[in-house]
Amino acid sequence: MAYKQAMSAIVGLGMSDLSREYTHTSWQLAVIAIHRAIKDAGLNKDDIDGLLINKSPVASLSSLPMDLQDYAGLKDLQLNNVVEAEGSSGVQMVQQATMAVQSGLASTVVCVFSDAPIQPGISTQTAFGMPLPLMGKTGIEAPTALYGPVAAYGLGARRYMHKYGLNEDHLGAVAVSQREWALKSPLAMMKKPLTMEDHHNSPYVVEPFHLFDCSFPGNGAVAVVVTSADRAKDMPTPPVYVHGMGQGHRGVTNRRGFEPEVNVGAKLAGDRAYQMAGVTPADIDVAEFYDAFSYCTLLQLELYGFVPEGGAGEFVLDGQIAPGGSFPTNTGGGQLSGYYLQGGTPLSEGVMQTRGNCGERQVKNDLVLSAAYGGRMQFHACMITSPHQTL
Amino acid sequence: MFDIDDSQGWPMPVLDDLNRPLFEGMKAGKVMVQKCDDCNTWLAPSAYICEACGSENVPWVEASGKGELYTYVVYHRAYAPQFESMVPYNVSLVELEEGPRLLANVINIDNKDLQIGMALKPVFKEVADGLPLLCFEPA
Repeated sequence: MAYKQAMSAIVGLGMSDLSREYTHTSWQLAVIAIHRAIKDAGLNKDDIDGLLINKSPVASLSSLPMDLQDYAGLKDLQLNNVVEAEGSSGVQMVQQATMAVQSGLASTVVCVFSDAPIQPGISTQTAFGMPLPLMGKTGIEAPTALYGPVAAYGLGARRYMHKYGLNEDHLGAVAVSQREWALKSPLAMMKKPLTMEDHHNSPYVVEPFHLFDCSFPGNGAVAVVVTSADRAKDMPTPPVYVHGMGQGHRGVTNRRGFEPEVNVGAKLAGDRAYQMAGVTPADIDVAEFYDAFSYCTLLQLELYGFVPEGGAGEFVLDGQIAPGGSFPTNTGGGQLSGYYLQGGTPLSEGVMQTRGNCGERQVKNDLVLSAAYGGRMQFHACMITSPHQTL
Repeated sequence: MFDIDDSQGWPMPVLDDLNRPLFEGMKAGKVMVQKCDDCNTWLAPSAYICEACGSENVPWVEASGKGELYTYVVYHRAYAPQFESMVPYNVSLVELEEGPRLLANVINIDNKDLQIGMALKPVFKEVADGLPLLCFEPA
């Protein structure tokens, strides 16, 4: 049987402390994460020749500029770029680093996401609660009072629920399942058990979403070090080999005959990644998704091919993504109950699961899918990782 | 990406060629969308080119205004002070009979009675002086 060599490897992971209070600027958090990742890889900062930066799409460019190089003391870089692909950037950075390593543009690339939305006098509702453009280019939605991502996703969730006959139990089951995982993770910000009753009794933010359908933004940073698969063999940490990657950006078509809220680009991204890795969805052991809202997990379970379209609600209600279920998903609690660091959430948990050092929440990890999206689930990127250099 | 004009006490876009016909239409009691002159695809504003065929000929045209509810959300908190008196309020995507979907509030209905697929017709609500915002109500 033909076998496939890995395209690159993630050999270092670093995270800043995570906080619901303002402690550091975004660039300070980034510097902390970068240096922890370099140390984790057993490298020196002068071994790094590439830097890829992911700031929050709602943060200012100056909050995390290319000068991060200097704040972090990185010299003589041969790759330096702010990757702006909204929430998908967390995974897109690893894709770009892989291409850079394969082409020889750089040999050892640090990828960092950092954000500090919570500032003195600024809540997460303020930080993320601006008017959003859904349909056009000139803010024509603002007069309808469509502010904040909760409603933008809520419109998609309502349509999805209508299409497949789902109710709030199916959304709640995502939140409850992921909380069970969070209770096993020392990194998770949510520490108390959550029942379906707790979910239903929590206030609506924007219907159909209760409070516990929404992720839990915090301040923090995640960095990884990407290098060639060959070099990774000699590094001190268990290599996380990258075997497949894909993107999917279908475009939003706001007219009859199209359902952009349901037919998002995750399927395109997944199909390419599976093809590249030479595997199928049935081969994947665990998935780490960007799950800003509960319904996003359901939709991605379907479009990445783990359950038939329309089948995720019952699958999750049956406990199948929770600890002990047939398909562990968002094993760090995801963004609902773990931590919301945009694409850094599935990236970091995917790396930890692939390494096999997740302790109580470790699951079978021969093939791990990590997926991130941006916009209103418009922009998707995923990767397939494994502890095995050849598949 | 977009500029908001709050000077009237209500968030409005800064008008430009891409959105002016929509809001001028509201003042005349019309529902304006776009339609490709080359392939006749009806387009939701603001279309710069026809997403079906790539044509640059996408003039504004008046739609009948008849439509149905495609999806909706109900806000239970206000993200800006001027919305506080409206809570709970809905924001909806309305599919016009010609095909394009518009974001709008459905008014003159209890939010609990909103049903995807329900028939709607246009109604204009004065949200600020001289700003008759396009909304919809049950047909």
